[in-house]
Amino acid sequence: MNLDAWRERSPMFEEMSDEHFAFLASLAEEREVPGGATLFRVNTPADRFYLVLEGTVALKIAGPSKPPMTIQTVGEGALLGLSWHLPPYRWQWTAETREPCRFAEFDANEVLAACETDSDFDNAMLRIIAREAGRRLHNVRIQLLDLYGRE
Amino acid sequence: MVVAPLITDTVTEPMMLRPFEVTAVTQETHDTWTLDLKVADGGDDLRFRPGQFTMMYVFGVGEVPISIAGNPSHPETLVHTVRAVGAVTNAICALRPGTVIGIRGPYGSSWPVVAATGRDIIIVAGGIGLAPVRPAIYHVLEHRESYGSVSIVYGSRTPSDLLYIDEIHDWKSRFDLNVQITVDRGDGTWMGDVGVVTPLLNRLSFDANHAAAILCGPEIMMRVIAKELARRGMPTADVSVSLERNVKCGVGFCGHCQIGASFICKDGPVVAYDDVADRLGMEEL
Amino acid sequence: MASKVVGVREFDSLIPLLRDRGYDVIGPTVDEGTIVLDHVATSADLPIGWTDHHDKGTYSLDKRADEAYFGYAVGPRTFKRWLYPPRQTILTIEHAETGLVFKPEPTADERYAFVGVRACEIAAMEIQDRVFAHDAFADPHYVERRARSLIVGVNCAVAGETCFCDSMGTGPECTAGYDLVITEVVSGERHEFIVESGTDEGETILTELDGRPTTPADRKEVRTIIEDTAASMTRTMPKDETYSLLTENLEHPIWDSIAERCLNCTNCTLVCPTCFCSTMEDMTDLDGRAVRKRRWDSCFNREFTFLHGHAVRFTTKSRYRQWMTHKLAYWYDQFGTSGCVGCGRCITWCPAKIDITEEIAHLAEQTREEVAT
Repeated sequence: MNLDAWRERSPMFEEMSDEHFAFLASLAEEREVPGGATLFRVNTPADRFYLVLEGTVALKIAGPSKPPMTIQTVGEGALLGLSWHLPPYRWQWTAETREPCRFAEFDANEVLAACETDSDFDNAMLRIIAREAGRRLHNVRIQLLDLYGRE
Repeated sequence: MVVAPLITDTVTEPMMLRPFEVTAVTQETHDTWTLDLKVADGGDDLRFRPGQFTMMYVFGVGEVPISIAGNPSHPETLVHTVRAVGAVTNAICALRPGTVIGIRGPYGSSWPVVAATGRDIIIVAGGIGLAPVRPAIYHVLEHRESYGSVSIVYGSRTPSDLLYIDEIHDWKSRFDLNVQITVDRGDGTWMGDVGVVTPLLNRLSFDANHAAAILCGPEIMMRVIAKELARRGMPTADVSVSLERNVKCGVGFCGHCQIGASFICKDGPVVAYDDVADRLGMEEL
Repeated sequence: MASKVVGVREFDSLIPLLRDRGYDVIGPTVDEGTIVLDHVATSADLPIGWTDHHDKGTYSLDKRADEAYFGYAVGPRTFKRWLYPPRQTILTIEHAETGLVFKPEPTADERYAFVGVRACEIAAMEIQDRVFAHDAFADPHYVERRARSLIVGVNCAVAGETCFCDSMGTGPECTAGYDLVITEVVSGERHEFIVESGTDEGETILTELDGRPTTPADRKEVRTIIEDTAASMTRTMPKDETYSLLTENLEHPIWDSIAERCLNCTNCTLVCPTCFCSTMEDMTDLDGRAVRKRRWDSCFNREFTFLHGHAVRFTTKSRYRQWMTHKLAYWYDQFGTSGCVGCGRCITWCPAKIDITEEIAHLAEQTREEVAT
């Protein structure tokens, strides 16, 4: 897939070289998903990841006596799914499309195989994942501040 | 010694209060109310520019600076949205129609909505920060044809903390407006976005070199958004933020509201992000 | 403008003359071991024969060997006490049947004659003019008082040990901004006042004082006195260099070092002739009437920056930094001038003996070392 236009809007792959990004994009499968569909379910094997091209996905988790609660929504520009690269390689959340969505979908085994043969690419992918994990941590911390609450 | 004023159109009773009557009170959320007021001394309406504030005085309680939340082209109604957080704001929120309070102002600088004519407009508000930008939204919507794309991004604590919910529905139903709303915590019925406002910027289309951004909310939020807009290629001189400090006199006499060289009451509350970027990151300035 | 040399007896007619012309005369007088500014009725109220000694956190009076009228430097009070009083009613609020009635406080009709105004004090007034009179908003009380007052300046014949006006370019000579200016000459048997006028009002008053015309020798005497006073100052401030020095070092460890000593007592802001911070208080009585008063405040008070119940500047370090960077740096942005006139009061009256000239010198030295290493 050609994801150059998408890349320009999202901060996600800023640091990755053009070659590595083009290689990654070559592994992508375009996928359209209707609204209300479950993309993946918590605790099932995490064997893929997505770049969100269009639409919004809700990450949900259900408590013992509570209906599933949305803890975050991810939309255009987001990298969806880190669990494929991190033990125990299982989804931590359930992902549900909020509306018709379009994704670039990646087969985790294919990407991991490429990582094994090309350590530079592996490094680049790890950097992206570390950066995304850091960004999510930062956002959660900001949410923890309860910024809009009574100061 | 005769000291001639250097500026001839000097305001000579700059701290004078005027009586305003509360004409309507609307509860917005569990802790926030919107008040409509009208001039009660038979004098002129309080004309203002979007982003300016007044000092609201409740007899026997005290005075606080509050941004004007109404429509600048309808100055006959002075609108303030107030969150009950302290003694004075609690007293304001408890006011009933018919009560007369004191108002002085308007004071301060304004959102550069006129200078931004012809540009794409990005408005990002957090929490009660939607109130000070609402006059700018009114202006832009009334002159919609004079602007390029217009986006409103609004972050709130929970769905029940969203201000102006009817108007948000109106804005969302327009085809000439990109409205993005997110909450820190959803509830069972919330079908909107959950999370911080920053990722929502990915959904906005604008010409980074021909846009104006208006940011109002917690300083941390404004900093993060301004940096993200800069990353998207926007010059930070085109990003305006509204700052909050302890404004007492409103006219630059009392010194309380300084941040670096700026008096928030007269050089602000609206300032170019460029001018304050280095100060906002600094603790206790 | 005119000038005249006036003997002691003739000079003694000045204060009564000013009072006859309707002025409330404010001048130096000794009170509780201090030379303060207050209402004076005759020359006898002046600190005749007294001088003052200054050092960091130290002030004392001493008898002079002569009977000089103005043989001291500066005391803890400044003339801002009358132009911008510690308490000022702004308006009154009445809770009437029909709602609230707001009444502005009429401006006072006093006419002050300030006698013994030092060059640094005149500079300070001109700085406060920029705060209260020369902006989009003007304070009617300040403007009115200032416009109605008369300035009788004095060229300093003595520099206090904490003075540094010479390096700030604000003294010791009164160069402008006065109605009359006096240079007191006391040497041996000679005791005279060389009086010059700077305005029409000053000239009118001068014609009513008996004296002899000034000679070139008198004018030379005036120059010598001013030059000797300037030369005797030991403290200096690198005027205008303080802007970049401070704004570029907001996170410098020097602020921690000062904060260890500073007591937040607010003395420096209260004795400073240019500090203008105030707060407003509403006094509400049970009869449905409230009076709004402005009173001097200080950036050293914790409540000064309260926002949603918390102080923005919650440490001593940040409050001291605010005071010094405002005075010696941000003032330039705000008012086009330094906020310091070099009067040295903040050094003399600091109980912790913090000396801004020393701190600036330390900072300059440390930044130079940092650049060098």
